[in-house]
Amino acid sequence: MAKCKKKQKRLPKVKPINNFLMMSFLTLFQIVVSFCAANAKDSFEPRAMLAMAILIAVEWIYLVFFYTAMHRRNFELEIIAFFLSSVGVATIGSMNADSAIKQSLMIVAGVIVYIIMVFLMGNVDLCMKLRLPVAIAAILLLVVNLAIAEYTHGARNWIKIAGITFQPSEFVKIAFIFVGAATLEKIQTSKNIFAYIAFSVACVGSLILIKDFGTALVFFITFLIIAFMTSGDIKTIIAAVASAGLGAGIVVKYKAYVTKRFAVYRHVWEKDYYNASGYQQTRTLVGLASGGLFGLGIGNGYTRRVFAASTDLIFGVICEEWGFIFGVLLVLAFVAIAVSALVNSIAARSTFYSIAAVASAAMLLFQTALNIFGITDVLPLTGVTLPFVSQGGSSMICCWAVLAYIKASDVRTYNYLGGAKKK
Amino acid sequence: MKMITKRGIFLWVLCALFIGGIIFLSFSLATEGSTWVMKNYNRHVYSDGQLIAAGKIKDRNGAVLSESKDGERVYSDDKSTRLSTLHLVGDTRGFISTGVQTVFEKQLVGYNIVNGVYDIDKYGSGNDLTLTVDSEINKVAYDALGDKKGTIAVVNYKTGDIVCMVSKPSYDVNNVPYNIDSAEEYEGVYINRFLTGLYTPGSTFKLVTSISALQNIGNDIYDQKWQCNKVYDVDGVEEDNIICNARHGKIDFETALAKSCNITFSQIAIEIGPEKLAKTVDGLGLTSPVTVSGEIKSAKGRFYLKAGDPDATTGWTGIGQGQTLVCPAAMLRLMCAIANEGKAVPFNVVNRFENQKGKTIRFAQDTAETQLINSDIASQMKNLMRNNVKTQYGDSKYKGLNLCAKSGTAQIDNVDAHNTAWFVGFMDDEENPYAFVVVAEKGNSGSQTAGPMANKVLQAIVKGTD
Repeated sequence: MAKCKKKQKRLPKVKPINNFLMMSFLTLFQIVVSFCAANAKDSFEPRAMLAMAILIAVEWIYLVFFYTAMHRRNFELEIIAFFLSSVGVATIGSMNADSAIKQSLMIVAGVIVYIIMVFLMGNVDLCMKLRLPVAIAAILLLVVNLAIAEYTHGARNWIKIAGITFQPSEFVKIAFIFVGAATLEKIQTSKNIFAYIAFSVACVGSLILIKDFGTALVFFITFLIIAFMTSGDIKTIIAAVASAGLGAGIVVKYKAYVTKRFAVYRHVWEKDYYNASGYQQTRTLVGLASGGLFGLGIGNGYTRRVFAASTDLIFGVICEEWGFIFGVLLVLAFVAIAVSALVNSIAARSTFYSIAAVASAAMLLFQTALNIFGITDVLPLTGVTLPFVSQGGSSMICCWAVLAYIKASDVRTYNYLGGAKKK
Repeated sequence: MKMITKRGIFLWVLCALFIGGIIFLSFSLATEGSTWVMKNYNRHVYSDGQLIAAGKIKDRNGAVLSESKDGERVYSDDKSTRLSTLHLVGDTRGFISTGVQTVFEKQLVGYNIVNGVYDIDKYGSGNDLTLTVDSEINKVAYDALGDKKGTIAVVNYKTGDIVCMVSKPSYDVNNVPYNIDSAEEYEGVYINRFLTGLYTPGSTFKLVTSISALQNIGNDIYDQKWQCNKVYDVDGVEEDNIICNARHGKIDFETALAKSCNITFSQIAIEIGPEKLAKTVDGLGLTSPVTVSGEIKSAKGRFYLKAGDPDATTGWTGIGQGQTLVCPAAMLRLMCAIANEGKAVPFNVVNRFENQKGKTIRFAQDTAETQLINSDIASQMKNLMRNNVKTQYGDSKYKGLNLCAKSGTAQIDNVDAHNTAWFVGFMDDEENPYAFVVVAEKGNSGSQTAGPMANKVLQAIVKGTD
């Protein structure tokens, strides 16, 4: 999949065949893996293939529509995202076909949000106007979260409205990058940076209150990236001081919690932990070693039977059943996304796009790192999901929305569009 | 814009750290993966704590001693095979820590980082292990021990291959006795007495004293004569008196060893002195563990004699009484060295490992010989031990074996019946280069109890069972 990350800085010279050829390869891959997933259990499970069929339909409709009607030629990011999503759908489908269909529908929702976001980002003026409402909406969402959420597995990050459960913090991620990039883009006043710091403190603070330590950390790192991307002089210092204060706040607030995390960290094999707080990590590592480099085949692992196998531990399931090499290639896709964001940021039409793209890529990459290194005891376990792959609607929609920021920073995106004003 | 580009450096750093993390994880997997796989909660390898992924364990003739069937570990169909190979093979619960099934767990599972446990899942078992032991000989040895606790082991002193290794008491793994942890008859049942037993050596220690004499006094020892009046008053204290098994009168070195004269050997030990005797004991490896196939470690013998100890202590120690404790494996290694021009070959129990497709897997055995004594002393000891059999034990009782041996009767308390019976030695025979050790607890007399046991086993090896 690393093959689809190559970027060109000048006008696009991508040959049309490449997009369709790549999509065909991806489709072939998806058919094969979904067939394997359908056979994972004793009896053939056609709905696992149906879930993949939905995804295949969406990606082809997307490609054909934007290629013909919108004259776009850059589809590398989407192909990477579709690849990651399909690995998730196949893995989830091998465990529970209904969940896989739901996951596919969430991908459809994510792609719709993505399309809307890319259009929206084409209009910088509108973005600037939306900045304040979005910030307020984000804060409100977190307040609602604080008010009505109940504890689920140690964190209060889920809320239920009219029978639908979702994670508000995932949607706040989208707003966090948007507000950061839009606020700090042009107006170089200290009022702006203070406003953004206040917004960040509010976001991270409420995440701390709902005990979602992993997401708070993702926000914190994103904040740091945005702060360093924007500031030139005195503001760097302010940002650094504010971030240090924020970091210290996290540690102080979570002293007992953090100490507990660190007690098991790098000690997961010891007798006090391997059946307690080190359970998930030890089972993941045992599965990792059992799978070897090429895997045991879909459905033949035991990591899938551990709690949170389809969400937090999905990387472990993939490594055991699809092989360690595949697992590594899979997560290297996030490095490819990051590199393309960095390359885009050089040629982007304004700093707004650059900041948003780099911050988004950092958010995705850092969350991936927290996930895969957390469950393998390279880093402390914080319980975040693997972007695009883990089961979960809120997370899936958020990932596609965040990807839109990177897409928007690619000059080719709006070249044929007319919606965005050329500079 | 330039500034913005430069500030993107933090994301580049994040990318580099991410790749660094993946390299770290890959490195951990490569170095520790084999340990992770063997965790007893890995359901590819264990089921309910039972090792299910291990391959077959076979004796040298291919008889299956243990294998995995339908997610369970099953043992030989033959009860006496199960009993006599228990300590060699080990048990499912892993209580017998020196059993090959426990020690070579990793090799039996045959994990490798490239395929993981793929072949194990596919074939339902790991690598097969063929042992050097002949289970039929083990059965003979087990029967020979009769109702005695103890051990019998036989090794090829040219190759180091262990052909027989039994320990008693044993139990049937298919039918674990309800009172195994309480009954006196099962005391020390999980211990392989050959490897982990420690015994007072009794008169077998006179071989050590002899070697020390040859090393420190030299060939002059053959010209010396001692006077045995049945009682030897060392220091005027009656309790310290050394009592002999008979009144031997004027006696020379060779005869003293054959008749196992306590008085002669206590005097030789005093003449050598405690410091030099201790040096010989260390040099013969009696105080260091014996390693079998590079992985199985025996217990270390204990020898407390040191410079400045009184003559009475030295004298008693020189005849194998007192605080000295010897591991049968270390004694057998010494026999191998005497038989093999002073060179002790490392012991093996592994013949080969084969994967599921029958391909032999490389298993590096230690082949470095240890020169325990020089070849001249070895050949003198061989002659002395041959003389023991010819003049004392009787070749007629060990027909066709060309046996070189020494018996030992180690006193534990004042009751003769409690004595530990030893019989150690080897066959001086190019075609049957076997050394042996027999220890029978509460065996009363070495030559009369342990000697016939050794004979039964060696005859079975030479003539074949059945």
